[in-house]
Amino acid sequence: MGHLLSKEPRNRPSQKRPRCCSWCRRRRPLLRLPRRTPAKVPPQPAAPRSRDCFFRGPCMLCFIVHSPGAPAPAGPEEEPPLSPPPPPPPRDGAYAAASSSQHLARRYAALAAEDCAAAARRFLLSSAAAAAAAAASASSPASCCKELGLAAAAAWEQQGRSLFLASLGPVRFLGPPAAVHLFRGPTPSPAEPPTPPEMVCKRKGAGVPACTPCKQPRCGGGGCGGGGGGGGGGGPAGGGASPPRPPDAGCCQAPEQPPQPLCPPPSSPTSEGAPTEAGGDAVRTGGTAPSSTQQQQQHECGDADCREPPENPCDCHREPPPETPDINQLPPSILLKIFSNLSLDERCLSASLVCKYWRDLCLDFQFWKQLDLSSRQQVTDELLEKIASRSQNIIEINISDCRSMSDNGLGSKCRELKDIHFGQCYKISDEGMIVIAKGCLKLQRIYMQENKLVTDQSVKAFAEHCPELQYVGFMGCSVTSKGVIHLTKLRNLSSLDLRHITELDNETVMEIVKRCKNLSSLNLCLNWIINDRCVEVIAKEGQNLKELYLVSCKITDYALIAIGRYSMTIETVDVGWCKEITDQGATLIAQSSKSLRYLGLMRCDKVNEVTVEQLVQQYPHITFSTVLQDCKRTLERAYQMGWTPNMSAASS
Amino acid sequence: MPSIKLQSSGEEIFEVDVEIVKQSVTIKTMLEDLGMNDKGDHDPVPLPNVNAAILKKVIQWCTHHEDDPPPPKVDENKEKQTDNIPVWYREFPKVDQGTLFELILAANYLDIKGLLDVTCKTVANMVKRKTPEEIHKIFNLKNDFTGLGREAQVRQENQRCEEK
Repeated sequence: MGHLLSKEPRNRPSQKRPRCCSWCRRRRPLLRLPRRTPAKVPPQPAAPRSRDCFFRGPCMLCFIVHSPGAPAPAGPEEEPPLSPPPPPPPRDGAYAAASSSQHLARRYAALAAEDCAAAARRFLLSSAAAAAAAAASASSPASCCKELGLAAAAAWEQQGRSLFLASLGPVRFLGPPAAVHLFRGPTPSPAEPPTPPEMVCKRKGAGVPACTPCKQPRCGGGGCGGGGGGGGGGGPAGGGASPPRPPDAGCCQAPEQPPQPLCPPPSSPTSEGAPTEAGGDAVRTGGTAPSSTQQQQQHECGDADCREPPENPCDCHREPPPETPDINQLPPSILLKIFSNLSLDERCLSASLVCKYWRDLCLDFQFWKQLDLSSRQQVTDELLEKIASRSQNIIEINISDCRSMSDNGLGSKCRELKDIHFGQCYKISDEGMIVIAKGCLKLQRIYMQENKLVTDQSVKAFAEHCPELQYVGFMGCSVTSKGVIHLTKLRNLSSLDLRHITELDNETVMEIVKRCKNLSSLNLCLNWIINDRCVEVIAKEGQNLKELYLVSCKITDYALIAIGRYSMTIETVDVGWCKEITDQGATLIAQSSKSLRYLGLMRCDKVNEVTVEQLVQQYPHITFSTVLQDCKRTLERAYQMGWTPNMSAASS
Repeated sequence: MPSIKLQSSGEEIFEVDVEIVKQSVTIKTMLEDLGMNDKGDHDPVPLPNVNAAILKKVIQWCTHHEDDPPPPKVDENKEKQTDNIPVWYREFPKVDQGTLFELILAANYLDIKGLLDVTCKTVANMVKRKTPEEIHKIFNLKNDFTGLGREAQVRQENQRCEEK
C-alpha cells in the first residue's frame, strides 16, 4: 500500500539529539527522521558524530541519522571498545549495493571526509594485522571485519574495489565498507529466507546481547527485517556509499522476494545502480578508505548498540510499504476473520504451529466459544476440564461420540455454555448431568442421544435449573414420563426430541403441548404408545407447531385427518412405518391443510404409489416421501449432475 | 444515474456509479455525511488508503456484485464453509498474494462485507489442508518457535493451556 508513504522526503532537521531509535543507543546527531517517512532522500543529518549502526537491518532512522560519516570521531567516547563483531550478514552487500538516491550518497560522501580522519585516529591497528586483514579481505571480507585497520582500509581500496567490481560487474565502486558487504551480499542474500532475527543478531559472537527482534506481532519476520535494513543502510553510509536502500534489501532478503514488506526503503531493489553510483561518487570525493575501515569497525562495535530499531518496523507497520504486504501485516482482526474460516483441526494442528503470532491468534477466545470435539475418542475428562477452565466463555460444545467422556469433564466451569451435545457419550450419567444443569444456567440447547445412564433425574434437573432451554433432546435415554412431565416448566421450549425413550404416555405429551406454547418441533418417533387422540390434541393445542414426527407410532388415518383439520401451522408431518395409514388419510390431509409442505409416508404399505403419484400432481407444493418418490428424486438429481443410465456400459 | 468520483492514493480519479459504490459502507457513510447523495459534480472522494490498481479491482468487483442480495445473516459462530466462492475466481483470476492482501485491506477500509468475506475465504483456502511447513513457504513466514520439533511445539501449546 504505497499510499501511506509520502512521496517527498521531509527535511526536518531537529535540534535535539535524540536517540536514533530505541534500538541504537547511540545518540545520534540531530536529525530525527520523521517516523512516517522512509524518505527517499533522507534529510541531511548534521555532522555525524556517532558510530553508525551497522546493523544489518533496516534502521532507516539510524541510517538517516548517522549514515553520513557514520564513523564519527566522537564515536570512541561513547562506544565500547571494539570487539570482534560477528561477520555482517551477507545481506549487507546486497543492500549496500542498492543504495538510495545519489543525492543522499553525495551528501554522505561530503561528510565522510571528516569521519575518515576520525576513524583513522581511532582505529590504528598493527600493520601486520592490517595486512593480514587486507589479504583476507579478498576472500572473506566478513571475517576480516574485526581486523580492519587503516592498513586494511587501504588494502580495501585496492582489493576491495576490484573484488567488488568483479562480483557486481558494472556496479560502480561503492567504497570499502560497501565493498565488503557487497562481496558477501549478492550471493547469500538472495538465497536466504527471511530470517530477520538472525540477520539482526549477528553480534552474538561479539558478546553483546543479541538484539531482540521487534516484538510487534505484525513484524513477524518483517519487523526485524525492517530494522535490519535500516541498520545496514547506516553502516555503509560512512563510506558515503551507504544508500538508504540497503536496509530493504538487507531485511528483505533477496530483493526478488516480494512478500517482504516491512521497511521498504523507497527505492526498490531494482535501483541498485543508482546507489552504487552514488557510492562511487562518495568514495571518490570522500576518500573513504579510512572511513570505510571505521565503518567496519564501527559496525562491529556499533553492534553493541545497534539494535533492531523497534520503531522502524513499527513505523513500517503504520505505513504499509509500497511493496506487497505480508500476511502478518494484515490487522489482527482480519487474520482472525481468516482463521475463523478454518476448522478447529486446521487451527490447532496447522495454523497454530506456523509461528508464535499465529498461535496466539488461534488461541483467541472467539475460536473457543464453540467446540466441536465430536467423535474424538481421545477426549477425556481431563482434557475437557482443561479446556473448560481455560476458556470459560465456551458457548457451545459438541462432544458427541466421545466415548471416553464421563461425568467429570465439564463440571460446572463453563457458565456460559449454551449448547451441549452429548450424544453417544455412553459413560455420562445423571451425576454429571445434574452438575452441568446446576452450573450452566444459560443453557439453551441440550442434546443427548443413547445415553442410557441418563434418567429422569437429569431431565428434572435441567427443567428446574435451566429456564432458557429451547432445544431439548433425550433420544434413547432412560427417561420416562415422570421425567418428561417436568419439561412443562420450560416455557421457552421450542424443540423436543423424545425418540425412543423408555416410556412415554399420551397424557404427558398432551400436557407438554398444552403448556409449552412455543413448541415448534416435536419428535415422538418410536414411541409406540402414541395414539390418534394424542395427535388430535397436539394438532389442536400446538399453536406454533411446525414439525411433527410420528414414525412408528400407533396411529391411523384419523390422526392425519385431525392434523389437517386443526393445525394451521403444521408444515412437516412424518408418519412413516405406520402400517394403518391408507390413501384416505394421505389424500385428506393434503386437501385440508394449507400449510403442509412435507408428508412422510415411507413404508406406509397400505398407501398406493399410484395415489401418491396423483397427489404429487395435484399438490405440487407438498413433498411426498415414499420409497418410489424418493427414488425418483434421487434419479432426477443424478441426471442433473450429468449421469446417464448407460454410463457404465460401453455404448453411449 | 448519478456518479461519483473516487480518488485513489495516487490521485487517480475513477468515476463510478453511486449505487455501485454504495456497497462500501465507508463511502456510503461519507456521502451521507457530506450530503452528496443526489447530485453529481462533487469534488472527488479521496481514498488515501487505496491505490489506483486496487481501487480499480474493487470497483470492478462492486460493479459485478451490485445486484447481489445482502449476504445472509450467518451465525458468526458456526464453522464456515469456504467452498462457495466461485464468483471470485471467475472474476479475479489468480491474483497474487500481494494484491490479495491489498484487496483485503481495501475491503476492510471501505467496509465492503462481501469482498472482505470472499478474500478472507480465499486466504483461508490457501491455509486449509496445509502443513505448517507448507504455510511457511506459501506466505514466506518464519517459524519462530525456538527450534523445537513439532511435538515439542504441541507440547508447548498444551502447557499453555494448562497455564491459565
